[in-house]
Amino acid sequence: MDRVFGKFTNKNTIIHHLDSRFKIFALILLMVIIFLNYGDFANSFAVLGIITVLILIIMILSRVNFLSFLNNLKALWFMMLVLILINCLIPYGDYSHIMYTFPNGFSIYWEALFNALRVGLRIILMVALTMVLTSTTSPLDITYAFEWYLTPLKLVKFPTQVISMTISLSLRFIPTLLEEAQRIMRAQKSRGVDYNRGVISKKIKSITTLVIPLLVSCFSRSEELALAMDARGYDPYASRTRYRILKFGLKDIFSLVFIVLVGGFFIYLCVLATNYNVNFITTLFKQIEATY
Amino acid sequence: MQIEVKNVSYTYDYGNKETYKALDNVSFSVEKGDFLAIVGKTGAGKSTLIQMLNGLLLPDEGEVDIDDFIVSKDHKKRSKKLFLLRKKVGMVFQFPEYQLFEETVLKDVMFGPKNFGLKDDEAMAVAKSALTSVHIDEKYYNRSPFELSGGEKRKVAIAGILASKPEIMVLDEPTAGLDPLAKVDIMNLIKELHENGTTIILVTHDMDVVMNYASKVVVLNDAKLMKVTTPDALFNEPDVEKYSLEIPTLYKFKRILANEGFKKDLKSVNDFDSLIDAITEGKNNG
Repeated sequence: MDRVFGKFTNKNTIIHHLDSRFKIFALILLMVIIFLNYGDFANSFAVLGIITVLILIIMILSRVNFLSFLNNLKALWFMMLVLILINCLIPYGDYSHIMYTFPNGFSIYWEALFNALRVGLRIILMVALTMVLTSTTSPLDITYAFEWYLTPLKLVKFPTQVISMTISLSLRFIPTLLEEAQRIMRAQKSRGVDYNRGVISKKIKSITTLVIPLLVSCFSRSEELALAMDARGYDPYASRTRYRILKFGLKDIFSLVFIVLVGGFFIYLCVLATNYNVNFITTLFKQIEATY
Repeated sequence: MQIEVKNVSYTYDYGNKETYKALDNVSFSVEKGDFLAIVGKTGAGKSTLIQMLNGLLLPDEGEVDIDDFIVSKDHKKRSKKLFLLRKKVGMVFQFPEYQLFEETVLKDVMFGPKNFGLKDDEAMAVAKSALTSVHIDEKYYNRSPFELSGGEKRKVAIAGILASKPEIMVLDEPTAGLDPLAKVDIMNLIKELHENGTTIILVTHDMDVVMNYASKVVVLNDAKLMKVTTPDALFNEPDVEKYSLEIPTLYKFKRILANEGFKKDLKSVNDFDSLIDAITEGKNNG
């Protein structure tokens, strides 16, 4: 399949060599800082701008496929449209800058547009981060990391190994299902299905031609897989050893310190903006402007 | 000439500078009414090639001319013309039963013709005729396609393509995964279609199928065209194994007999009946 979004490709980069447990921690921390409240729009966009640069650097370091990323962003257009519509139609808070007023008196505010853009940017950054994780970490390593994080739950007899096997199998079958989807789409195209054109009702019908065969194939595969695992004596509750042992090295420690400092800095900015009403970045820019 | 493949090349781009050349300067032609088999080992480029025959893939270089309809890289993938080409060239993929999705067998077969612009009653008529031609009994029409056996599902899927009345049928390993009886059933069905005037292009790894049904064979190896010949000429070649092809059972027998010192020339023998006659004759002549 050409350029599968976020598909793991083994490369020799620093991000690829980092421990998967660290990468998951960093992903969660970065997602948290993306979604924190940084005060007014100017401050928010300034902070999100800095985070964007940071994520771009991470993407460059991990040598991810930018083309694939941009291609997949195209799929977000509908969500952006819904976001803008919802924000425009349901104004809230202290919206005051009118962009347009309809004859019936209903107004659309600039704040609504900015809010939609802010949420959209956050989602794009989140997608980028997820892509970095999945394209630089093998599905098996991600599973190991999840299992490691779930370890404390073993104390309350939570079946962590079953969950991690489920996650592992799900991740393992994503590329297979994508290939299967492409195969079904090609087969349906040869029966005259056009996935690109047509009115909404026709498009929904087109999607049915893909989804139903894909589900059927999914269920049949999962049944075969379960039987094959049973046949090879799989016991979900057996204690197991593993070939690959995760090692938390020096570079992981340095990266952890760095990411915690970065996280701390942004949390500090958030606290300043929300609790003390200090829009740090905006103030900084104003001071720079005043100086020059 | 119904189809002319002219200097076609195609490279898969997996991103991150990973590429795979699937076809390299391939040229051959297909006459109306031919029964053409495309053979070669896995990864030789067979499936890539047939996808160009109804515009699912566009060649990077060269072109495919199908009754003056040119498929080349200049084509827009969303072109309406490609849609018309797909009506002309019916494509049956490997394991076509996985494309079934409608509630009933009849509805599923009607799906293609309706897409190609037929009204409900017209689509139903052609669907019934297609189901009859693949020997699916009327009692199955209102059953869910998922309740059928593997062979029956495949027949329904083939009927789904046939219902659009294609002039050319392209089949990618239509007998893969079927039991021997279902395999013969499907192949006889394809033979019937051929006898009724449909041009057949078949990708297969089964050399017995090639020997028994095809009139012409295209051999691909590592993305390159090796030769275009007849099955008899191909399997009579002493070093046919160099194309990673298995020799059909009949030709294996012929080789064994020749190696055991059977003196009669068996080159003209191309079916089991003639082989038995030749052996009997040889035995009678001492």
